[in-house]
Amino acid sequence: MRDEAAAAIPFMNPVYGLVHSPRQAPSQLLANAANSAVDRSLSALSHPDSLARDAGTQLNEWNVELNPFASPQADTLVGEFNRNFRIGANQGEVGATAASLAYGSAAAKVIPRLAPISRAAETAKFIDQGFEPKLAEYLAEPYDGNGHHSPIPRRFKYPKTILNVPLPKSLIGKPVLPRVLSDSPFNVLKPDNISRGGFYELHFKVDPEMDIARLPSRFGGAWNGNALGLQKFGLLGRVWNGSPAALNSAVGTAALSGIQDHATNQNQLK
Amino acid sequence: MKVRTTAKMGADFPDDQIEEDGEIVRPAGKGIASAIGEILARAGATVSEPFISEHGWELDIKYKDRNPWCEIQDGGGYIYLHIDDRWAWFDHRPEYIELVVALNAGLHRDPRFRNIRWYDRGDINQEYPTSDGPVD
Repeated sequence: MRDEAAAAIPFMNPVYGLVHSPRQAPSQLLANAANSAVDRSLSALSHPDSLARDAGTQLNEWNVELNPFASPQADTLVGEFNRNFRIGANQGEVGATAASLAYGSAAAKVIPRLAPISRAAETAKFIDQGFEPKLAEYLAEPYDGNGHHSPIPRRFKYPKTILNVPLPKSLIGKPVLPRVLSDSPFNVLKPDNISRGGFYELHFKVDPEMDIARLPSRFGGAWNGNALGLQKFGLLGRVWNGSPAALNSAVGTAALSGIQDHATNQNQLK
Repeated sequence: MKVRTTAKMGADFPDDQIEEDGEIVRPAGKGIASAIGEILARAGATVSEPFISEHGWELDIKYKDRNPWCEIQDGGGYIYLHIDDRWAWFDHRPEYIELVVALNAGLHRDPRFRNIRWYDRGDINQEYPTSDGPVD
């Protein structure tokens, strides 16, 4: 169910990245519900009665999180202030997330903020794509590679001239960004909490030159985005979805610092 | 003039991928990248040893005034080859075109490469017409 929801989300959203910081904790309310839904759907066939019980539990949790009259008042003024602030913040977060869903959002921005990946759901997704179960399990493992360097690729090096303007000899052939910046979170797209196969898909879509990812010899061949029929993003999609969350957040913070502050406060209260 | 920057082709080379405990520690394709580097060198370019890049193996190339970027991704029996003149924002330079035409001729002469098809950048999965060569 979570994957269906994520897949249904269009890939352009100017709002989500602006209101969520990369260091911000996941949007637990909807994210946990989404992951719970995955596990519920997988076990529903064998335990159909659990669905109704779980739904009731979730509704009760949301009621406590969002409704100021559903939890007891605090003993002190400060405690009561914090309780109401937390409830208000939760309401705000649900609103922001709902707005994000309504606008559609970058999968790159949404997926890492969902609760920890359900390995079973990822495996099921890759089996659906036609991979053998063992390979699907491999693709569902957490991604721990070097990520995608963007917006300045590692391969960008200074040429002799730019638009017929000669560059200093000391620059020619050197990387445009020094390694310390090139490998910084501002230039590496490597979402937390993403599977190998999930990252390959994301990388394929945001990088015009990424076509395949070689697989271990026990599987043979390569993961091939072209063979899966995946489509690459256009320029705007690449800029948005291919930007590291840290960079996205820095820009968003400058633009919407008030909202960002609110989100930070909200985290500190959790 | 249309210049294509991506080629897909069959490649008959030994698999040189290195793994430890079932995990890839060095991707396949170094031998193929070396062979392509030799073709480019025969065409007059100065070519580095292959080095690991984000997607596979990369070559540093110097040819006359140009420094094209070249990367090889090994899919096991086939490869994707990307070669582009990164800083020619408005048009490809004659020197670069000269080099990719020579590269294509060298690939066609080498029996280890077969079914060479050139594409526009990022269009491999589209139904656009492909070509035998990088320049129409």
